[in-house]
Amino acid sequence: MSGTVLIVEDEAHLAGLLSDVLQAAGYDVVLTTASRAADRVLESPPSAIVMDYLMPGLNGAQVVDRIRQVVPNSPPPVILVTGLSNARELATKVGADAYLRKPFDVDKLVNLVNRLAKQPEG
Amino acid sequence: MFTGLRHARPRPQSRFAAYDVPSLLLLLALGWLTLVSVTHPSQLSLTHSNVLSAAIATGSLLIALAATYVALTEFLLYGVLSSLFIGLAFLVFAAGHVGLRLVPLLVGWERHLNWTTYGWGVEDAVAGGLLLAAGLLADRMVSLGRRGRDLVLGVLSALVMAVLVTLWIYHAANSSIPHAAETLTPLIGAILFFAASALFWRQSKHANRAWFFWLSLSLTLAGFAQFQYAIHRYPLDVVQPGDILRLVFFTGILFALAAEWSQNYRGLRWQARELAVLHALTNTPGIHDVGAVREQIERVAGDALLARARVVLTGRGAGYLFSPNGGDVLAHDSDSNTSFGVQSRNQLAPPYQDGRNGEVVLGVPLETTQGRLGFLVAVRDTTDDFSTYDVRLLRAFGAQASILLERSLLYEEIEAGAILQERSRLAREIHDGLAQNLAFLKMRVAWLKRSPAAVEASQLDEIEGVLETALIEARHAITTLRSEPQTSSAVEAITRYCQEFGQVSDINVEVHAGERVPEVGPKAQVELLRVVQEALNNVRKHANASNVTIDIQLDEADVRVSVEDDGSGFDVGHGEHGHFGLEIMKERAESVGGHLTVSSTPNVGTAIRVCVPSREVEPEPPTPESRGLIER
Repeated sequence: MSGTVLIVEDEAHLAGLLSDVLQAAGYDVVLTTASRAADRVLESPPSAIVMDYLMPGLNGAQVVDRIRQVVPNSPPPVILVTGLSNARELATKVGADAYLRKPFDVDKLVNLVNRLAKQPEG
Repeated sequence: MFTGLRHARPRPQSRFAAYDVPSLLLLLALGWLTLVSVTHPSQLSLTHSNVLSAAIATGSLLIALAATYVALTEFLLYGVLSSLFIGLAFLVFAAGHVGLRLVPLLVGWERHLNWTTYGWGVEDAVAGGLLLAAGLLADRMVSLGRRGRDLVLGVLSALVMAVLVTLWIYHAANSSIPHAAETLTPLIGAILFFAASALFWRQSKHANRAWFFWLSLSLTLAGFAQFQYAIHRYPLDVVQPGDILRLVFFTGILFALAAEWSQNYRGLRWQARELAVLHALTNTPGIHDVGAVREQIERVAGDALLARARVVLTGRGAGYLFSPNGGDVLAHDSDSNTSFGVQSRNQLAPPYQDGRNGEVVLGVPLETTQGRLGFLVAVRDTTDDFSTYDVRLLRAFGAQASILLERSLLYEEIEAGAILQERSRLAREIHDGLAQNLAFLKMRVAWLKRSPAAVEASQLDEIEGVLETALIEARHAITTLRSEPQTSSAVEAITRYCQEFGQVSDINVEVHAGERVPEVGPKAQVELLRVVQEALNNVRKHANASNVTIDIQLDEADVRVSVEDDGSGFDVGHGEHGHFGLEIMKERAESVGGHLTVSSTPNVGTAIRVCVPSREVEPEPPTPESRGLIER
């Protein structure tokens, strides 16, 4: 598989792990923080976004809102990863395409990304 | 001990109930004696003595003056209108004794002046009128029902009839008719005395005042004396039965004064006791502790009433003491292992008093504006009832105790709220910190297990670092759970974490905190701590440092925290991807209105400085427009 996955996460080591996993699955990975996520999407639209919910400053729902503001026509699919017990509810609130509750099997993440990621055009 | 309390019927408040029969007998005997003496002139024993007459008049005068003084003092002190009239009546009596008895006796007019007899009658009628007015004013506090009014009118009519009939009988038997005015005035006085007496009697029952009781009793005797004055007129030097009755009347007034004094004295003593007891309550130690407050209330109330006192908390708005025969639901006081009945609201009026099994129980409700907290119950191992004063004392005490108890219960509630808040804060901390770290560790280890041979030392270092953080957080959680709920400041939280970090890592950690570092908001505190954690993790993971210094200071209006190490340092401007951790730290600082700078010199060390405002600021999330990205 190929394409870029944007990881929006406020825990550096978890972001590192997700990065390792997705890179091993053949993706390019960009790590970013909540407030810069929309800029990154605008700079180079990713094939998928893997995003935490609780982050300093902005939460997952606010981040997705802002991404939809900058790319209203083709927002990338979002996979929400959170440790909160109401993950399903949050995913609905955010409008995420899928969710995983931490800790999760990394294969599940890879499968979700594989399934949802938009293949790069051309 | 006690299983329930019966509501006692209101006991007669008067302690003079016991005097009713003897006083009635006394009245009847004296009345009979008077009637006999006035209707049978042969029975009259007349003494001719200027000196005795003058002595009787002087004694009566002194008592009248004393009564005037007491009554007028009460009027001046408390503005009691009935006392003014009583005082004026006795002033009239005093004036009469001077002007119509003593002066004529002293100047030797005792055998000449018919007007003294007439004046004596007028004086009594005026005094009687004033006393009746006083009785009516005192009685205004008591509402006379229709039946009461009818009764008073009936008695007055009967008295008038009796007077007229007596006069007619006397007229038929004796041709020497007294002068109409000289006869009528004492009779009018008699009627007024009787009417006032009836009102004072009623008032003595109602207000429990010995003063009224003796006034009423004495006035009855004075009324009988008037009959004698109406029928026989003797010169002033003759001591007649009416004079003796009048002397008894004034003796009764002496008793009234003594009773008033004694009652006031007792009242003062009780008020002093009440004050002492209430004051003892205000010295309650440990207002935060409901148990201690309860003990103090029970101790003070027990000492004051010479009884065992118990505070029974039944919960707000609930709990009624009742007769074991009448209650349908049992309430249980687990502290004293005592059961109480619960009845519907308003069924019983406090206080409750019950005597059984050789003990008397008195209970008053502990009421607050928010409802009923419970009861204050006093138990005495005796069959004597608690006195009126005991009831009053326990009531006053109960009112104060309620306020104290409510306050300490409120403290307890606030404390419980603080514990809940602390728990919820801790839960959030564990969720955001420890649980996240453990989740990460599980995932990281699971990932590494896939190719164990390819595991790098840096990956194990990372795991060790996160484990250290998790360990510190677990220890912190345990400490928090063990300690009293308290809010820790940002300085305390950071210092504690850094010290723990020093213990679990091999790095020498020094923390310097300024003295006047202000408080930051709770959100800023969390983010500051996370920044410091991340900074220390980086030191541990990348810096290869042996010393790290954390400095927390007040910087203008901000709180500045710096983390400086003596490690390998790095090129700040190089490699964005590698410093994602720094980016997150910046984001944390910015999210609470602060900022973060990093300076690093290869082979010298790294310094991370974070500043957050001392008050929490919720920054507007930057929009793409504000960052000039749309134009690009």
